[in-house]
Amino acid sequence: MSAKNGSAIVQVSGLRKNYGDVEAIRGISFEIREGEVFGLLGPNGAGKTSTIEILEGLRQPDAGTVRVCGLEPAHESQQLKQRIGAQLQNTVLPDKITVEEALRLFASFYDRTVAVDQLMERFGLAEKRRAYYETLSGGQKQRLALALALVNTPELVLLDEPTAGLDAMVRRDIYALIEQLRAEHRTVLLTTHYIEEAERLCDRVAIVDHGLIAAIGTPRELVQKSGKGARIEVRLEKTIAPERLRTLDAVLDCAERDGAYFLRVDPVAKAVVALVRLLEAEGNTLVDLHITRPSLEDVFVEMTGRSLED
Amino acid sequence: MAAIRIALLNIRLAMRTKVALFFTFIFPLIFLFVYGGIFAHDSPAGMAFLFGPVIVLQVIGSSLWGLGMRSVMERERGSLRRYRLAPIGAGAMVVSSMLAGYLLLIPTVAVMLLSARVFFHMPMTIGILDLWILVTAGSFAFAGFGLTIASVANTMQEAQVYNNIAFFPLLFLSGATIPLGALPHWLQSVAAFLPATYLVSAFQGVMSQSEPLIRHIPELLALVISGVFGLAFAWKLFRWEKDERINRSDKLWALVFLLPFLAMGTWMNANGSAMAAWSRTLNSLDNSDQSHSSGSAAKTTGNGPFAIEHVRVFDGAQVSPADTVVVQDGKIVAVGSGLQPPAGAQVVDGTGDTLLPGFIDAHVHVLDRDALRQSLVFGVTTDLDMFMDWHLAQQIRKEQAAGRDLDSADLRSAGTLTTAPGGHGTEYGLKIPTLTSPEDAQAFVDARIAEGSDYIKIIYDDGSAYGMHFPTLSPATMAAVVEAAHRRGKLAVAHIGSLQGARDAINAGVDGLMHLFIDRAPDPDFGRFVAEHHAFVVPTLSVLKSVCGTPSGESLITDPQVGPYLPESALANLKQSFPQHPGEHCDYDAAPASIRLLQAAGVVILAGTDSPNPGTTFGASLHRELELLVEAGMTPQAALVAATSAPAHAFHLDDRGRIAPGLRADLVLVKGDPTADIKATRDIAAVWKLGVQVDREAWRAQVEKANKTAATAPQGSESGLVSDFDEGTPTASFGSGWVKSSDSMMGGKSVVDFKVVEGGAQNSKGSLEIDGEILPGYAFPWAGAMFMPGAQPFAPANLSSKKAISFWAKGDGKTYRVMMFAASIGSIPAWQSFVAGPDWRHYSLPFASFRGVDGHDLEGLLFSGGPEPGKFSFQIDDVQFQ
Repeated sequence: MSAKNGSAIVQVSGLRKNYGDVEAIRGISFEIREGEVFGLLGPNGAGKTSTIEILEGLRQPDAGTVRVCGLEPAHESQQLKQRIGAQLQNTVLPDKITVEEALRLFASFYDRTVAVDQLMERFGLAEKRRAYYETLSGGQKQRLALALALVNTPELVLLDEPTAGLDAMVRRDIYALIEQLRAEHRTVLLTTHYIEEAERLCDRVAIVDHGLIAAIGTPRELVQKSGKGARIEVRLEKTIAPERLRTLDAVLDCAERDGAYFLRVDPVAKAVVALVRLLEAEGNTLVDLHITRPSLEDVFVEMTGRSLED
Repeated sequence: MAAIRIALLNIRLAMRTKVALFFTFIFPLIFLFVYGGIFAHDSPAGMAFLFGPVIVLQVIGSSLWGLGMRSVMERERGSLRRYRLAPIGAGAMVVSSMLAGYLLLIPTVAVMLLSARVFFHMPMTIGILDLWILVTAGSFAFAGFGLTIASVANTMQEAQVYNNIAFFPLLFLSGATIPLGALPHWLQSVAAFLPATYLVSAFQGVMSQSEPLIRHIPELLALVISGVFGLAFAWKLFRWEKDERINRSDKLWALVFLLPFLAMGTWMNANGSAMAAWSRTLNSLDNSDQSHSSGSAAKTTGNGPFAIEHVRVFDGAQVSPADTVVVQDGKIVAVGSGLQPPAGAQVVDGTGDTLLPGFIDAHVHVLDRDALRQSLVFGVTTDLDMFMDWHLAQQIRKEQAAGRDLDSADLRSAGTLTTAPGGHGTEYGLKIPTLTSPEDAQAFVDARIAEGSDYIKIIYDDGSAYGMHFPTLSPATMAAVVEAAHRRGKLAVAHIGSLQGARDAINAGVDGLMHLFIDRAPDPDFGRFVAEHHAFVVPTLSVLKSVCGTPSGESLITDPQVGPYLPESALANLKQSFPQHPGEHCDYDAAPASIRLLQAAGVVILAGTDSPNPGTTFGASLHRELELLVEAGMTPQAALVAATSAPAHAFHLDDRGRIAPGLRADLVLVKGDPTADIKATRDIAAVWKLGVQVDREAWRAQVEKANKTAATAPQGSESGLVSDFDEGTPTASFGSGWVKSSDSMMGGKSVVDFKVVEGGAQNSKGSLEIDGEILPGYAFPWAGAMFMPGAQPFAPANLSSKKAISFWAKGDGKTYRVMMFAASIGSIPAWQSFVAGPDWRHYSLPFASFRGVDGHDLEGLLFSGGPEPGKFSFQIDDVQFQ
């Protein structure tokens, strides 16, 4: 029974999970609506994998309610598994299984399946249909894992770090595939620690850190919420003390790095005018100017006080 | 369903890894060949013994180290995680593991079976269905075992520890390596608790002891139940992730898996028969090897005094508390506990063995002395004949009296039986007197007694129960015969063929019934009726089965303790059964039903075989009869009484049948305890007649040699020419030459001589002239010249490449016979007659015209005069097989 247009496919409320003394999830709540691509963005150890595993029925929550496709993953897992597709962070398949065998085997577990040959074509695995799993490259393995997740035309697709460890070229291939899912209006939950991925693929993002959701919204909403203007990277002919720039109108902060000055400004236009006036007054010349809009990274840093790299 | 798909995938994956392929197919074959090469080289019976253990080893190994370890490894590796995302439950995973292991086992067993048959000539002593049942039950039980261990272990190392703890006892105590019979008793008790033991013992029981699989249902049940427990446990505690640990209390649940084995082990220890069977199976293997037979080795030499100590004594009625028996001068002189043997006596250690009185077969037909010799070899020290040629009987009794028959069973005989003209007994070609009216009864009985009959055998059977019709005595005549016999102090027994016949005979006052009826079930009153008349019954179950068309003796042929002692003619006879007639009512089950009624009423039952009728043979069939009596509901003890003290008492043979001071030292020593397992009677360690041990080993060697030399065609026989008599002496191109042969060797009076004379057929240089005289004396008179084609006199020779016997003959115009003796047709030859006219004439008689002869086991070719009495003279020349 599929949900009506716009209704919630996933409803999580007050979710908690402990591993011994460690509180991995400390009370999170969110909803995923039908047809949207929802991202859980956060560093390693934030609780993303635990959350997705609870939704998949692989782990039991310690508190809170979870409903996926109207079912409780903990108690109605067999029914639920018929309707969802999932990709693990690390998929381990037998070394000597062939691509085609894996797809056909898993297809056989479900009531509703797609044509395996079409799936192989779509994911660029048709040439490798008889190759042993151990001979596939990292990208091909990830594509296979993704194909396996779709073998039962699921109502909800759960992807845990789908591009982790892959190089940039391969990553783009995966993005293209996920964007296809988006075009098909499938509901997707994906976890990631790549900002670019979240910005590019997701309709809405929840920023997760230390077991709590710091913020939820569309990428644009989040950026706007942080509201802290833009960043200007400036190169000057003559050096100048950063403090001088900080005093300019509409400049919020300034830092100097490798001969370039990074200014946080709001609004952009006012700051640029003030800068130019200062430089003219001091007889300095603008060598280079580069304006960047705020990103989710900035939002993250602002929300959590840390960069994603930490 | 999902489990099957996953199982098939896992099998395909296994076939892609060389290591898995090796351990599935190559390793077990290596094991078969090494094990077989060392222990079963040149011994098909040895391979039949080892086959079960080798299969069981493969089942255990692949279940613990293959199936079990693979499960843990997959969990540790993370392979199971992806399956967990799909809608498959733990059940499908567990079942798929078991199924994959089972499906890989089937072809492995098939290949091992083929190898055992082709390279080790293992006989097919197990049916394919039975083999499949055993393999399936074993695979199921041990898969449960392996998966239970996998569920209980948290890591591969832990799994290895548990596997080793389980593996070594299973390997060394279950009979899979060290034979069960070789373990000391206390270890056997421990072994009775191990699942592998049941599988090994079931395999060996069926393959080496010809037991039906049904006898091992308790063991199979224990295996299947434990498989179910293992499956349930593995399912309940299935874990998908390596960091899901099993807690200690759940681990203890695994012990539930062992409950069926605890129950089985306790039961097996309480009821010792299974463990007795293990010793027996092992010993039978020793005996079947040509190289050593500790079973039949000489225990005593000569006829000096000896004592058997530490032995279980069955005294003819029950197991006595005595453990020592002392024999001197052919008699038992002492029976007691812990007796001291007399000075100078040989001592036999009977530990683990049982001593019984020599067996008595209460119904045989003796055609020649070999029958009595073969009886003795199997521990039958007395044969009660129920119809034979009284001349032969007289002669044998004379030799007995003179003490010259220590290699033969003691004989008592009915001589000529009492039957109506044309009745049963007259169809064998032996000319016998018959009886028509009650008035002639006394004279008839007196004539029999004068001929030497020890008891009177009456035929009361019109054949209607087997769809035949022949005349029979009237009840009045039968009653008159009984009275006449009793008047002279002799027993009268009656052969009957129907329930009504049995009742009539009992009413006529017979002392015993020969054969139970199988035309219909007994009425409930039957037992009481017989008991009231104080008659005994000799059921002869062995021959009743053959009458119904089942050769009841076939299991004796493959029994390694019996088969090697039987010459080819005996083996051939065991495979026969009676021809079936239309209108025959044949309900074998009526006999056991009668036995139950008779036993309940306290009627004395005696063991008799009716050897050598189809399906039977002397000596060996008595052991089969004991087995059949037990199958019909008698206890082993009661069956043993029926073959020892009961017949001795019934036939007034007061000097035998029991182990007691003063009685004849006719003794049988067997390994094991026949009162627990009746088949232990076949495991003969020694036989004594009148205190002198029978040389079973010499008999066995002789049988083996005769059977072996019969295999190839004699050297020099390629052309087929026997003799052309042109050299002046009766030489032959092959074989053991020409001998004079007449019925005087059987007590007859005919005489013969032969010589080479000048002038032969087709103007050849010489021919053989045979002169003689047929005189009345023996029932089947003959006299002539016999050629023996075998390497030794009377040894069978293989002339099956030839198709006919060709010769020239002339003579006095009388009719003569060519007789062929062949091992498979027994002691009565097949013959064709010809007339020897005044001129040389050529004859060519195809083998096909000699009934039952195909030439592969020819023992003798006899040219003979008779059976009409009188002088005769004829000549033969150019005798040749074509």
